[in-house]
Amino acid sequence: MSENAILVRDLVKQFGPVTAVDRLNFAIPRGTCVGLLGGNGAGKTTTIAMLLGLVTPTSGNITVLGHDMAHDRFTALARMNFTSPYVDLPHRLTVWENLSVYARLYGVADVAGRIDELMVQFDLTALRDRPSGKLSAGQKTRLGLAKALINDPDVLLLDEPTASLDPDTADRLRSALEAYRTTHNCTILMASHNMLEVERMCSHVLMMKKGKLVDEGSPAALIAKYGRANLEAVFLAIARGEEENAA
Amino acid sequence: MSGSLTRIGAMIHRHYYLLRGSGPRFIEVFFWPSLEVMLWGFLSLYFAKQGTGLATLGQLALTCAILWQVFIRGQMNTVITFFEEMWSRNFGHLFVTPLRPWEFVVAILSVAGIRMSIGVSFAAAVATLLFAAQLFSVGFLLVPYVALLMLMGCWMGVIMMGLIFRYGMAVEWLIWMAGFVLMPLSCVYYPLTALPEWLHPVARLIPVTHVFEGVRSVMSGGPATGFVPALLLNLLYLGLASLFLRRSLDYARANAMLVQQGE
Repeated sequence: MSENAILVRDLVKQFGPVTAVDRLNFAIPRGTCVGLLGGNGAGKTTTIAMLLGLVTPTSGNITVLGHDMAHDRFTALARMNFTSPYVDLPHRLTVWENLSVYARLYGVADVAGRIDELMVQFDLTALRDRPSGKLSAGQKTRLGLAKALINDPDVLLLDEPTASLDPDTADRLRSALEAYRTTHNCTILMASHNMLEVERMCSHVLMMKKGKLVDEGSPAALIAKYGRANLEAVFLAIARGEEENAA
Repeated sequence: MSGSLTRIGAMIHRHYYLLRGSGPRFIEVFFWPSLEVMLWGFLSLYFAKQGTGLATLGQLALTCAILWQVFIRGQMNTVITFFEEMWSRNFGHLFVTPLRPWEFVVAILSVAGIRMSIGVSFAAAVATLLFAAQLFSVGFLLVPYVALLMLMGCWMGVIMMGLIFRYGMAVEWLIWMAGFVLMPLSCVYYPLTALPEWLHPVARLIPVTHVFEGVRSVMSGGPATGFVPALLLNLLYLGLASLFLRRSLDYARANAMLVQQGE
């Protein structure tokens, strides 16, 4: 069995003349939470889409939970999940119906039981019969996270997991995700623009710029390396091309 | 295999929930086939008042109108069911589950088949009760003819899905019109001989042409014809359509079109 939950080797994605992802290499050990950071157009979304099999790489290899995503992605996908506030669930289906459909798609044994657990955990019980399209942005984010945990995934890909949430709810959800990671030895790869969130949750950070991995390390190590006060300042230094100031 | 059935069942549930929660969608299942059948039903009543020969012609047209609905509703329902996923921008979630592409296609076709069966059965009942349609005079031969029409609806639907994956919503106009474009050459309401001779080879390439020629033959007391050519053509086109869909899906994945749906 592989020690790494996710292994990416020489990953390239080109769209015509544009190189969206340029020879990306990284490995994410099991049970860790890793942040994927970068400005707009850095290649984060394309990288996540390739990890999920939604986009085929131009070249390179992706292995998730020991499965080559080019040839055996469905075995891996059964043990993965994903959420993004930018990818809605069907608006006309109610909260319960949406969770029920995805529970069945992932082959969850006790559909009703698992949904009830998640509805309590994400405070969705009162919204059970409300169409997803009529939820507030924050409620949709909670539903997305409930859907992301419906199959007890071993690998979780999160895109802005706490976007649109008030600080209290966001804090509760971060705690829930951390608890889930610890109890299930789940691997989390998280794209976020909330640097405080990344500092709190991630033990390792991948910094992308123009499709390339420009730096990586623990938040503390990166802060020390760049001589900045916090991760946000490191992000700005990299985004603005001030890497030469790194110690 | 049980995993596949569960996932296909999940997709059927998804569309059942959608239909259950939306009055306009539910009515749409019955509306178009019934409207079409009523149009031809009133025409058959008018023909019946004009004389015996025209009455037979009217009944023949009404029967063919019902059977045409099997094909056109099958194809249209495939497109509508598929578009529901596009409109809800659901591919970003669906295609990161263990749902295989072939399971997705089978689920879409199953939902379309269920919708078509309900709608056309209702329309056939309306035609029988209000216009004394003689659909069942074809007898048990109706079963294989209906199956052949459904099969054509399937591969046409598969091609439509392939076109959307390949070209996106830009080809929506073509998707809605495709079945109707074939209609003049499908000899639904008139025999093949009504077409100019030079068009016969083209018309014979369309499976439903053989079905309607066969149905007219049976209703006129002749032999049941058209099964073999209609089946062989359907299987050939289904194979080609599946290949096209697979290539289109590969293209969509290579060009991030599953992530960026819509226009």
